Amino acid sequence: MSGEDEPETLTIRIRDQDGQETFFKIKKTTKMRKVFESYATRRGVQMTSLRFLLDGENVELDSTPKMLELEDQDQIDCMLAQTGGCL
Amino acid sequence: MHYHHAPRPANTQLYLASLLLSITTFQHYCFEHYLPYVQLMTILERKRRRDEKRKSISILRRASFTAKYTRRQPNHYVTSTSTRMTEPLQLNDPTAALIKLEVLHLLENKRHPCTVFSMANALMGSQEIMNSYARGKKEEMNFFQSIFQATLNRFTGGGTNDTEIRRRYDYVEAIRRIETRPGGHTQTLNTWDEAQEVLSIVFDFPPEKQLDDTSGTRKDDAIDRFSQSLNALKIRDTSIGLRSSQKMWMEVSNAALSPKIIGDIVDDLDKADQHMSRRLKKEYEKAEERKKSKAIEELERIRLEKEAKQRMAELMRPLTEDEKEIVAEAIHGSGPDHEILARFDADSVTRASMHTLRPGGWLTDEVIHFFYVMLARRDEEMCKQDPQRKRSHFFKSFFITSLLNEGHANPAKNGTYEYRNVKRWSKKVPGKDIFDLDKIIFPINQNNMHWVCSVIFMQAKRIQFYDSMGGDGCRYLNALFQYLKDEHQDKKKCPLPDEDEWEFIECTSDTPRQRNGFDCGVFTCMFADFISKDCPLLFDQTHITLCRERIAIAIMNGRAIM
Repeated sequence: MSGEDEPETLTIRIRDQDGQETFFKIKKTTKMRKVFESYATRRGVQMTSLRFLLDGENVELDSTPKMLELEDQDQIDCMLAQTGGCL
Repeated sequence: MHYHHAPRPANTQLYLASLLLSITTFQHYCFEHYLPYVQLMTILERKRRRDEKRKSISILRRASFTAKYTRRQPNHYVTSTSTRMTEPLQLNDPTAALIKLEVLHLLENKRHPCTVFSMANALMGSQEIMNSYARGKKEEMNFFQSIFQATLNRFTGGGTNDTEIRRRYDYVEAIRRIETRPGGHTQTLNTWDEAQEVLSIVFDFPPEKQLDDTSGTRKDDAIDRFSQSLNALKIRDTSIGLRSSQKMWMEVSNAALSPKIIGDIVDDLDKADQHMSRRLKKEYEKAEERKKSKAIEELERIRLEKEAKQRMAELMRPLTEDEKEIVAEAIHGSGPDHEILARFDADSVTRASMHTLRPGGWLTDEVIHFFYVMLARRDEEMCKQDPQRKRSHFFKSFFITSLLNEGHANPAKNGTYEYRNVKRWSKKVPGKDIFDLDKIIFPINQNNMHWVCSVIFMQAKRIQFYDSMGGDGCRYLNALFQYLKDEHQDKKKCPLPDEDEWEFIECTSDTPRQRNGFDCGVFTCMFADFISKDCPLLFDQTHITLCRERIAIAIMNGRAIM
């Protein structure tokens, strides 16, 4: 029983707009919020100015790789928040 | 008068002819259509009466009344002056033609040799000739007109005056003079020339050339002229009718008017009548149809316009008091900036983003994407209600950012197309197949400055660009078409079919425009709102303040206004 609960690990890639990839080795049960916060800190930006996308859709911060059915080496896109009004 | 004892016209043909006349007098071109038939009927009637007359003459002969008949004196019924009668009567062309026709018919009859007496009798009994002579002054009437006029007069019973009566008497007197010539019973006539010689005593014939008016070619000419004049009147169908009747005319005058032919003619008349009424009905129906289809088009246009306005009114409905309160609280309320005010699945809107919906604010991607998610929900609901409707998909603005490598640090890569970046994005599309969608709507952010919108109308094979500042958007149209081609190759393993059928529409002149430097995000939301509901873009800058509230209420309620 304890064997089944043993959290597996996997590596995910966070790819920013410049095509730079940052690798994270995480457990399948780690909340994505933790990954993203760590990434924002590493980049030195506020997390609210970043958008994390999986296949074009937002990633829920409280979800885990298991819930998202992420596989090893899967990619998450990190985009900068956008605004516009045309002045 | 004894030569008027011929029976009144009471046979089928004349009845039909008169019926046709009365039916068609009010329809001018119908009238013209039937004219040839009326003429034909006149010929038939003449033939019939001639036969009748001959029969009666032979009865007279058998009963040995001939002697008594010949003893009649001219002054029994005419107040004639013998001096005047010595002058030959001047015949006009139609009368001469009619006389020749009559005599030729007599000559053709092999059983009863034609004598001067029988010729005189026939000429005396012919109403047409007498009328034609009586009206002789009307020289301009051609052969057909004279016959027709005669027929018409018979039916209407009118048209005689004193001069005509006098001329009638003259005609009768002239015939009498031939009839009472010595040897009138015994002198047999064999050719027209012989007959003309006798008749020349009392009649002054016009030159022979005009007499040929009755020959086939002249008839043809007359009919041709008639057809041409009808053509000039653009009554083509009628002239076709005339052509066929001309053919019939020739047939009838060539054959010896057998009962079968008469029956056929009656049938033909019936058919012609039916044909005519059918044709009239058809014409009428066609005209009605044209009128109707025009009216339907107009109605359809009005209906669509009305419907569009109706939908517009629904989409732009004023908010209720409750909704206004919610909007006011969301947009203007105070609290932590990062507090999440609305959440749906992975999408959320913070208070800071909601504040951008205040008048004059630049909209953030959060607001626009959340609103688009609401539109997607509405679209899903509409598709549930209408199973025929295909789903639409709303990508995030990051789609174009990724596809075109926008804002890439490497200048060589910045702004270049790269399909690989969005290759997996269609996994999240309803049905996982972008080619089965109705529309794909892309919000586009330009350099963190401007919001625009582009739409792939998948079923209509059209890509259109919407920019409240009027930019052309060529770059995005090309990129999206390239994406379609690459996506088809990648997912369907074959090139995009019917590539040539695709249409690309840059921002049109009637796309609503912003009149300030901050509302493009709102316009971008409204483009998607209206397009996804198939509603024409009827809004303009004056609606936009209301639209900011509409976006806010859609976000706060978790559903777009239907």
